[in-house]
Amino acid sequence: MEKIKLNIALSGLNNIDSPGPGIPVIRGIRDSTKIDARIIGLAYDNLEPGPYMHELVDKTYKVPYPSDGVEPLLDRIKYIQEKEHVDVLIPNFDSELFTFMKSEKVLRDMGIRTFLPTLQQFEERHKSNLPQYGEKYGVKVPYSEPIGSIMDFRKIEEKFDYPVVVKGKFYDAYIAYDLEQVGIYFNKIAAKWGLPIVIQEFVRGTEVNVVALGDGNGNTVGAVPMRKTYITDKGKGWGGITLQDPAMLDLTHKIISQTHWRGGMELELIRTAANELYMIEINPRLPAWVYLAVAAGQNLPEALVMLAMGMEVKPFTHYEVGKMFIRYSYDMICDLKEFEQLSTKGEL
Amino acid sequence: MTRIKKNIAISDSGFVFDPGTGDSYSLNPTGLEIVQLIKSGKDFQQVLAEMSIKYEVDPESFERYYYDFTTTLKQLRLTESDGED
Repeated sequence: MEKIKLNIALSGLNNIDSPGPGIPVIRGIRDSTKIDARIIGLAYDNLEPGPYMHELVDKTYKVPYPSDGVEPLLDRIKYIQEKEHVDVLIPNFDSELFTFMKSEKVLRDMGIRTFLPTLQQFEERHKSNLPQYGEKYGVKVPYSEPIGSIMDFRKIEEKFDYPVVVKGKFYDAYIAYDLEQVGIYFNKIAAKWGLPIVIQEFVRGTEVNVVALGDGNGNTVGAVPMRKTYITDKGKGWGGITLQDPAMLDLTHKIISQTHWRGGMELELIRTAANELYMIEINPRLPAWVYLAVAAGQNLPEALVMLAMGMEVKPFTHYEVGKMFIRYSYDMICDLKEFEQLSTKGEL
Repeated sequence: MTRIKKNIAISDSGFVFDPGTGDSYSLNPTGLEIVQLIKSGKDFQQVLAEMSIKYEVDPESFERYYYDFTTTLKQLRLTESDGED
């Protein structure tokens, strides 16, 4: 079968110690037997490794941060579109999803397709809305409350037992053992990611994760459960293994069918000693470990691109259990000329 | 009687993999022999009889080591209990 030629733009090229999903998503697309892709990287920083990984990324454009506003970003995308004729755009950062979801129609008018959750799906799974989410969809979630200041937490402190988990609205989570630590982590996260901060009940157990893809009609296109076998001091999985876990898959199917989830997602779950599953977070995009799913037999990045193109995708029915990933660091040697080009011209 | 869970994979080299948790373990040759006997459906008396033929071991010591070993397997959730031995 002849491969379909597509121009695919994506962000999340920061393949660092807390990696974005861009490079693993590209690896999945490069492995595709159906898609012959030209990859256009969207970078926020001159030192993101992705732009210099020429075997994976064909061309990179610097883009303004979402916090600079929608207009500058769309102007830049428009410029990129004139040059590259992008067919599909895959945003890989939580923090930029809102902007791209809001701009879905504008992008479509430019000829750029996306495959993202709806605004309602995106909003209701926010960490600050998790208790309501759990109640609505019949999923066990730890008790949590959003706070805007330490004073707010003092008013609700008696509802929690220590330790508690202090979480940022997009990223970062710390376990705090007393009020003083809550204060420290509150300030640390708020300075980086803004408010609100979410205080969550600490559920003791093993963290397990599922990467999944919903077709937007309630069907799960694919899902692979995994346990991190090596966790860095930033809480990132540096190693993992696929699991045989029907309960995790049932929960994933239930959430996707009830919410009609559209796009990639990562479920973060805690399995307690009593074998109960608590959902602690839904990340509204494919995670950085998605290439493990590809290697285990489910090329979810390829399926996502095909769904974005309106093509038919048959749901995956199995995957290899016991497939492992071990992440590694590698000193890539780069030419100063290339750094100069990306820094000054914003293109490489 | 102790039974090894059906989904636990045990290789000839003594590598044990639990696909439900992703955990893996290594058995020494004696441990592997005992686990294979348990997996084949043998109870304590039958395992004792087989091991006594092959090795010089007094039943009292073997019983102590056997239950110590199977308790570890249970703690690691590799077994499911089906009545008493």
